[in-house]
Amino acid sequence: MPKPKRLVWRIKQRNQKATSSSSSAPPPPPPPPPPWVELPREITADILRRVGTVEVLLNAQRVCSTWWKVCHDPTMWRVIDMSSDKDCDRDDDDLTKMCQIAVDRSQGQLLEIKIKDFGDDDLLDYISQRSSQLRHIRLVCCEYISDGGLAAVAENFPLLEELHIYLSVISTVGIEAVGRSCSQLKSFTLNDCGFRGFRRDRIRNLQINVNDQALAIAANMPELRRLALFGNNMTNEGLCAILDGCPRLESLDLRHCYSIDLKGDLGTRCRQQIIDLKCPYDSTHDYEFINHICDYDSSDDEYPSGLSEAGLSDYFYDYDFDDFDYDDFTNPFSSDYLLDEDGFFW
Amino acid sequence: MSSTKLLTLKTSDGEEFKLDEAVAVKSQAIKNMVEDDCVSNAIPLPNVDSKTMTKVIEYWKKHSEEGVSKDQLNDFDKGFLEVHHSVLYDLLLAANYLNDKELVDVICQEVADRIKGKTPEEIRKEFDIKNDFTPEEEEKIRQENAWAFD
Repeated sequence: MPKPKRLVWRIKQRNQKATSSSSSAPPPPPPPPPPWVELPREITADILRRVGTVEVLLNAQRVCSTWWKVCHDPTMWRVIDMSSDKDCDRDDDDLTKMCQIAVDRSQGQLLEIKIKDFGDDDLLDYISQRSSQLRHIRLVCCEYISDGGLAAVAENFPLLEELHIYLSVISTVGIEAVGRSCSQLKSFTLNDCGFRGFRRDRIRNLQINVNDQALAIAANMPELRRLALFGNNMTNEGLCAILDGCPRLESLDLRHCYSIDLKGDLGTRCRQQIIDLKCPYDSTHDYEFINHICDYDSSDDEYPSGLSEAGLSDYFYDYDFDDFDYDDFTNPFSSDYLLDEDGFFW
Repeated sequence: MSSTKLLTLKTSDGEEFKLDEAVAVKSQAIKNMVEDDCVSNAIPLPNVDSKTMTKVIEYWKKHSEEGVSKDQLNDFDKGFLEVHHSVLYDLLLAANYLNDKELVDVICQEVADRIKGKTPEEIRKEFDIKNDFTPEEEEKIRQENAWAFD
């Protein structure tokens, strides 16, 4: 029993000796924290822009008076990014309100705006009335922004260079208006895959021909350098029109455009004319969205017994391309496959 | 084999670093000096201390290495940025002074990631920032943001 006590005592002694020898010099004070509020203003703005509109308006701008001032500076709002997945947890009305506040703060200096999963024609109109400098618009899954809505505001974006639309019903009316009003347009994305089943009734009312979008682009967007039409239904007729109508095209994404056949002369022409060509069956490994095709309401559809490829493309299945090795993938719209009454092939 | 010219960089605390010119010109500021042909002696960097310069050079060297995959670089960056915010601050100022846009972008993104998902008080705590709003300003802010709390 005494031995352990003595050991402890000895250790204490050693410690006491150690502390006594250094007791004359006080421990150095911790270095002061770096003055984050004294960073050059443009760096603070760079950081806060990356935080994203929602979090800036709700939290970051309330941290201190310096950040409050930066967040009220129009230069901070040259880019509005409301495309974070976390944003979609919020109410659409709140997101719309925040977008309007951000647009107001830009004081007409807005250059680029990205919106995902919210927004309607009224919001688009609000933005267009205040942002004549806009160069870049990206709309993902904005199902309440309509073809007519886009057409109505296109003339307010005369400097538009890039328009990227994913999963929407934009068609000839919108494309023609944008083409007429946005003579600077160099890059256009109209990636349409996945939601056609959901809005098939709207599309039927619009009486879309499979080549309508392609023909509208060909006729109205002659200055295009980059075009993406992922999952488009166009045939070789539409593709040919695009190659004729957009002579400056350098990049063309035709992935999942299964009605196109690039085996013959048209394919050769494509490869000669286009520097960066993505063919219908090319890998979607780097595609940022899941290539999901959903059938939402097949019950009220009537199909002729001999289904053409175009007709089959109206018939969608729960089919997640990411689950498959792309080399094994075959065209589900080919007439080689038979369909059961629920729309699944066997 | 290309000729490897060595540059000498001198930090604020007098330390000298010898570095391949091909690596050092990741700094646009140093690149400009090289092109203007004023690098016969050591290049003075009065706004960067040796501790920070060591880290910057570590980043430059990794990002100049051949045969490094994108994933490996991402892993490196992740570890490189896992530092106290005071180190990030010094790095950010140095990268800005040296005009290395890539490094500035990477650090700004890291700082932004540390801000995301936090309340104002949590952000203040993370970065040791003082709440310097007056009560009147706080009230004005609360009113301006009232829609968010309805």
